[in-house]
Amino acid sequence: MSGMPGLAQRMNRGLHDASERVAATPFGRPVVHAPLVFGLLLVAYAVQGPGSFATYTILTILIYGIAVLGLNIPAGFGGALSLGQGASFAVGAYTVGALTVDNGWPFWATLPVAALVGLVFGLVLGAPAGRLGEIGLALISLGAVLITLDLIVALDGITGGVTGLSPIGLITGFGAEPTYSLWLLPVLVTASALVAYLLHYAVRVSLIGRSAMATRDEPIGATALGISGYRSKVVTFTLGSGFGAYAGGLFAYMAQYISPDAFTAHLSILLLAMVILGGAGSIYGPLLGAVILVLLPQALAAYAHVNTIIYGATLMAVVLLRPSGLISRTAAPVRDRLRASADDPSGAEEREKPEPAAAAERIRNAGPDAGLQVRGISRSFGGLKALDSVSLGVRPGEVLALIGPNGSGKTTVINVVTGLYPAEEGRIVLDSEDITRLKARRITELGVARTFQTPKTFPGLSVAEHLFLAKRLQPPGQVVGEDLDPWVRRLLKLGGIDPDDPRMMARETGQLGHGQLRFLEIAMAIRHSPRLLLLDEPAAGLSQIEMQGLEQVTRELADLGIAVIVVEHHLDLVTRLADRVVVLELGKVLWEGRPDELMDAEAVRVAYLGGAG
Amino acid sequence: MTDFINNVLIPGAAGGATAGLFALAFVVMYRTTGVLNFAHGQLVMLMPLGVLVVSDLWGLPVVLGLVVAVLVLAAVVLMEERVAIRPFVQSGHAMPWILSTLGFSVVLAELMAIPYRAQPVRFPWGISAKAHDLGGIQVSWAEIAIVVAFILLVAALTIFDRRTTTGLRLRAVAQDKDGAAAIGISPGAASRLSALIAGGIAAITGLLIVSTQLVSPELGLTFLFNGFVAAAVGGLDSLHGVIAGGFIVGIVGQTAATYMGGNYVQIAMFSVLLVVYLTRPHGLFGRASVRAV
Amino acid sequence: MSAALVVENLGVRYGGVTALRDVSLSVDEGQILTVLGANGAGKTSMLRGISGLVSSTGTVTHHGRTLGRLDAAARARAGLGHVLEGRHVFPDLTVRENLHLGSLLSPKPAEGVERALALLPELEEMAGRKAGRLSGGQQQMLAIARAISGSPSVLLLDEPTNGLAPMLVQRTIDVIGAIQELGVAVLLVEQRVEVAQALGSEVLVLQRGEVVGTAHGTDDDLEDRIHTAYLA
Repeated sequence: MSGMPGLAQRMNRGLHDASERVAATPFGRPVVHAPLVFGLLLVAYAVQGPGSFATYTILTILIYGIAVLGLNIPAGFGGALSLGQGASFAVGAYTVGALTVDNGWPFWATLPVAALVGLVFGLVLGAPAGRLGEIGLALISLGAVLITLDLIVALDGITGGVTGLSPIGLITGFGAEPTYSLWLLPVLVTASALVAYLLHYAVRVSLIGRSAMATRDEPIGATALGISGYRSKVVTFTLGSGFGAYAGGLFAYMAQYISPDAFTAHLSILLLAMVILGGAGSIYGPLLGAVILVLLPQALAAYAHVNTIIYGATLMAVVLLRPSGLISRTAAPVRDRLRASADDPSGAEEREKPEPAAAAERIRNAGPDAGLQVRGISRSFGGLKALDSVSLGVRPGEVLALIGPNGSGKTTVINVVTGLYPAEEGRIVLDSEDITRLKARRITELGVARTFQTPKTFPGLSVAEHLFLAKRLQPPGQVVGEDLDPWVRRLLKLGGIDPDDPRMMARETGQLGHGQLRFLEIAMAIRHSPRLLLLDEPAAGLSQIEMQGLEQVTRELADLGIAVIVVEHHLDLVTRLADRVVVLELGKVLWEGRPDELMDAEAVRVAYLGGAG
Repeated sequence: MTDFINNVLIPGAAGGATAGLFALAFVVMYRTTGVLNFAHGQLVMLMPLGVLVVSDLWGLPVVLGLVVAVLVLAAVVLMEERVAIRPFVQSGHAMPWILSTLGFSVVLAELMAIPYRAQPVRFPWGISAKAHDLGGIQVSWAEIAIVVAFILLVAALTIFDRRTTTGLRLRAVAQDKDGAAAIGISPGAASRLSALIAGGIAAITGLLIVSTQLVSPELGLTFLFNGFVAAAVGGLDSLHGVIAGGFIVGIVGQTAATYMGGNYVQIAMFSVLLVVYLTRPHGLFGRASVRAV
Repeated sequence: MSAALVVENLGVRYGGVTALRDVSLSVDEGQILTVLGANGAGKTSMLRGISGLVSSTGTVTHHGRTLGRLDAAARARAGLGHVLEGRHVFPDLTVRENLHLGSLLSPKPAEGVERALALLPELEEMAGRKAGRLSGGQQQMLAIARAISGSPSVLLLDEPTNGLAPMLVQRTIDVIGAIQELGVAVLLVEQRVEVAQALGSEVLVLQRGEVVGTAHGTDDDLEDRIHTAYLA
């Protein structure tokens, strides 16, 4: 796509490898490197003088840095492009300005209030904006900047209107005079930046952060895990705005004078440019972006036009040549262990077999309504009737194979059962509960897990993060009453992912091959501890050995009491694995029966080799 | 009543036509490429600025200025299409093209600041903005011109879209890029043509709005934003929708300006955008394609 | 009889995944070549590589002219028709408009539309309807007609019987036969063996992105051989 793919690709590759290596060292951990780096800054102030231009430059970078880290939460982690971070920045600055100038509040009171106002501002904006697509969000956030500026001018009783507010001094106590110390501001800003950096990291590794990343990378896959994309967007938007407002408050103290001119839409664009240039979603990339875009204009200050032109050209060049930014690694560490077995951590899980007696007992005792019952569901798209009154069922412990030619409606059955799109007619009942009208996320929470024809994994998350999310988002109560980690490990190994290799587990899945992703996706589905497992063409593109392994694991999982539906084209696999087979054609059930009758059935010949002959 | 006409309806219609002209260019471009051009404000100003440079700074005839400005505008539009739009045509992601077109606008604005050292300049050859009294109703030629030009342009483009083979080709690319390529319609050529049409709209818009606006490299994001709102109200893929979108934006904005004050215009715009997005995400006349998933 | 389409060592990769490797084939004027294969065998990638919708390695020669770096639209203009998987008709345009657009590739567009409608007269009665409102089968017929109206010398057909009722499958087979009669070189990609049988065409079997065998639609044991290939 770009003019020089060879060079750009090599550069991109090299940068990614480098960031992967840094992440693997102890220095890659924020609690290690952050205090070190920020501590060094204090030394720099002492050497250069706390009131020097060098210190001022560093403080500018740090203040923008806090706002940019905040913006990275929605725009990087959440994929919610915001052109409005400058609005939060302005809101924070004016909160501090008004509280200081009009009311004489001390900084330790104004800054928390500014952050709080920023959070509320983000929530008010994010609640409707979270429902919108990328373009809608961009326009709404751009609008937010424009109206914030207008409101600042309109509310001139508080904000000083176009003349602005001054002097905004650092007051240390109610009723006190502004401090004359040159050290308070540098220390305050630097400490704030350190806390912001660690907090930003904490958000990233929280369930919310990881869920937001998953939604960003693959919204449908995230829904299949039970993640609410809307909630992720609103929460990340809110948090990001809080960071932005706090940074704006610090800016007010540094500038001592604020007016609307400082907060135009260009500020918002600059902040977004910092995030994208440094690497949206990466942990320290956005700070790098802030460093570059503060220092670059300073270095070029003598060349007025060149300066701005280079800035504009940088924006274009980044998205053309390196759309993921300078630091492209977005995966974060995770503490999570895949148990080999209940009492044996040594990797002897290959010998581990299910407790046949207990599981068999459970399966036998399951009531007549246990499992999934699909009754007469229909669904059409445009003029095409994809499902025409399809009925089928699967009980705990049973493997049902769904076969049929392309376009016969197999995947649509899975999509309708999992609530991806609703059935137009008919009923779907899971363990006596009617799930026909439930949302996809609710159905997932009831213990339904699925895989997709093309694995819907999250390219910016590590292997370990995928498995962690599946575990953390498990439906309450382990459905089959069994720790499924040993099977998860076996699936990973089948796919060539060594669960005991930390570098492999830390790798972003965007770097993995198709076969590996397929097994990872099934492993995630299992780690979700489902009662109903839906596999969409799990064996497509697998080798004979991989297929056999998959077959064995699937059988064992069914024997634990999981109800399994597998959509498959490999008839030999179906014959060996399935307890029952349903043949679909043109959205209708054509044949249903035992797999050993399958080869003789006229229906299968018809479905697979064509019906007209 | 006369007051309402003079204070709201007439300036609202003129403002609406301005927003509508911006929206029209956005829609033309968006339908074939899926890109909203954030550099459109600069393209609008390029035309009058070009005329000023040639005819004011260099003292050459205005006609020559117009010719030169059109050529420069076309060249700039083609360049932008190539570097900032084509690579992201119907890519499904907004972030890259928002930044690339913004980046282009930054570069362009900076270059445009050179001739007059970033100072706003009056455009002496614009249509008169002097109000004439028609039985108590105050209206200027500039206001009439922009409203008429807007409606005529929408009509012309709608006819082009519906009645000509080229229009049909553009609609085909808009609906199915691969399907179009498979029958010999190049999506790249379609993108280039759309950019040129949008550039033409920018030229006309530029010459019309300088009746009331000073010429400066930074038109201000409010013009762009009001255009976006008008396009979103009408539907990002609907040509005739921009008539409704434009005039709704104009009247609502002017109502807010007249009865609440200038600082509440953007708040009114923002509310309109929010209401539309939450109630009719595809706009009044836009629609989700009828094709199955 | 000269070869209308010659493909040599065609390869297609998506990121790190090889979808197609070293596929060579040749189709003569008025000949049908059917490529059979299961899901994921690389059939669609092969056609998209030939028509230029995805970038590929290897060479594609059309009536002795190497297509090289031409993009999809240019290849279509050179006479390479492609009926895409999933039909890709223009949903908000009428049937007539869809056909008209397709016919613009023809030296005489009106004749192109006529030829297409002669082939698929059932489209005439729905000429004023939006393509998106047609049934799947009707859309498929429209997609074929749209390609034919451009008078291609080579036609790539991607699973035209996919999702069609048996009656329509037979209709499609007849239409493909009629297209062959027009002297068009047809490269057909299919999952259904019966289509190749009914057309009595040459057959290539594609598996995991590679050609694993050749056959002829009239071979008695074709079905068994393909069955084995699907099960492997």
